[in-house]
Amino acid sequence: MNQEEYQQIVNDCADALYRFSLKNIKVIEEAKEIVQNSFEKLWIHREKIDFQRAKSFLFTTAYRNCIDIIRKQKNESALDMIKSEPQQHLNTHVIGLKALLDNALSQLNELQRSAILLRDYEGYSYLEIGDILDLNESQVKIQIFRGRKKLQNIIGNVEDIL
Amino acid sequence: MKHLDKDIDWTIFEFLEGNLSSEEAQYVQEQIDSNEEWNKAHTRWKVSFLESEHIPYPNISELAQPKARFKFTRNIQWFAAASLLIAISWFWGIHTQKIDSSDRVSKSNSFQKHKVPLHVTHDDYGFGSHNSSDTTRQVAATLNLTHSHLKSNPRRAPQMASATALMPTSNPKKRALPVIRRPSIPNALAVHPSANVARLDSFSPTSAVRPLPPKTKNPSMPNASIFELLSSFFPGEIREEARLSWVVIQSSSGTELPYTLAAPRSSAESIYIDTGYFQLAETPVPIWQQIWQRTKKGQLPAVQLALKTQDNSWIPSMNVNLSY
Repeated sequence: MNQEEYQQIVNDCADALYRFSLKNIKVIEEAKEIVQNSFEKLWIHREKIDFQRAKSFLFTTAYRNCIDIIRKQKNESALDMIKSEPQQHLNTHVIGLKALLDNALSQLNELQRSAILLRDYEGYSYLEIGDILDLNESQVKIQIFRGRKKLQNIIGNVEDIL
Repeated sequence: MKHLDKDIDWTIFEFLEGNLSSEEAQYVQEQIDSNEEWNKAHTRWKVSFLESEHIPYPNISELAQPKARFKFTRNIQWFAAASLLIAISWFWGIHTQKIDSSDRVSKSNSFQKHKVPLHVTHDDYGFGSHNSSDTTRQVAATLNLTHSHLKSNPRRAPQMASATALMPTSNPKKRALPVIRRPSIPNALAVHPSANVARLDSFSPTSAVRPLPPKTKNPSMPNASIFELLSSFFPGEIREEARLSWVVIQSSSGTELPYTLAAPRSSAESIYIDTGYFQLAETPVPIWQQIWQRTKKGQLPAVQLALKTQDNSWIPSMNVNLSY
């Protein structure tokens, strides 16, 4: 991958990678840091990485960074507070469907959340998602199905919300 | 298509995921439109699909210039390396500058083995406010001791001969270093030199306009100046306005010094004191204390000094007894 291709990857993927990171860890500064680290690693290993595989490399790196941060957050019991937030939102009916989905998304496990994000936002195939998440196609499909099902349960009766 | 009805959830999931063929998708769509249960399931599932949203990355300009960023890091490394190199060069320069000046001395004589770089300013002798380089320059001008001058002085003729023998010359016959023994030892060193040291230490490096200490006839008096001490070593050669160039301390008894000389030219060991290096401000040790340390510590009972003249000849002093 040369300089021009790297620039193209930056232009094409920076926003998507930032969104993926932000949706995963919910902390803006850490999401920025993940994007920065991912692109830095891409630049360091640019000689070994094909242009076609660059996007997958970025998301794989970002996903692993997210996992690290999420585990760290879990150790700090930060997730307990996050989990309590959606229930409050549901009770107060003051947030929209988008915010509700975001909160519901945060309650999924990392694998389900990342799979759904990559599928819906990036439009990746099961195979591509499997490459990033280190799963096979069937496993990816199952994870997405279970994740969406869980989202339904968290959100509850859509008609009530809408 | 009946198998699709078995699990509505899974079927609608596959439908929304886009995994069905066109025929299957058309069938599911018909079911959703016609069947309320399918319709509710479809609505429920549809909510779980995230709608695309654009979240711009704020620092994209930093990512777009990786070369500059890494170049900056590289520049930092180069800057650190260059700074380190400059610092080392600076220290090395100071060191070599001293060595070069010492080499000037060593090139003019053959006693290159054991030099004691000292820097004696005029203040050491109480002669005024000249720096060391001025001292070196003025030594030749003010000392004005030449062979012709010395030869015209019959009293110094024997000493001149010894001095010539001390000095390195092109004539190999003159390279021998005879131990000069003289019957009379000046009284100047009959006293403990520490008394002189204490007296000389009292000289301030900033005493540029310090008046000369009062002269005494007997240099062993506590208030004797180094001028008087040296005058006792070189009677008739040191004038008040003279500047000491180099002094060689030479063993007159053949006693070995504790430090080894690589290739002593004779049994008489030599120590060089380069007055151009001794700075009272930096090393508040007067020249006499240096001499004393070198000789006393080495248990050298007697030494002989040699004064270097303008034409690189040497005037030996009388033997100086340090066996106190």
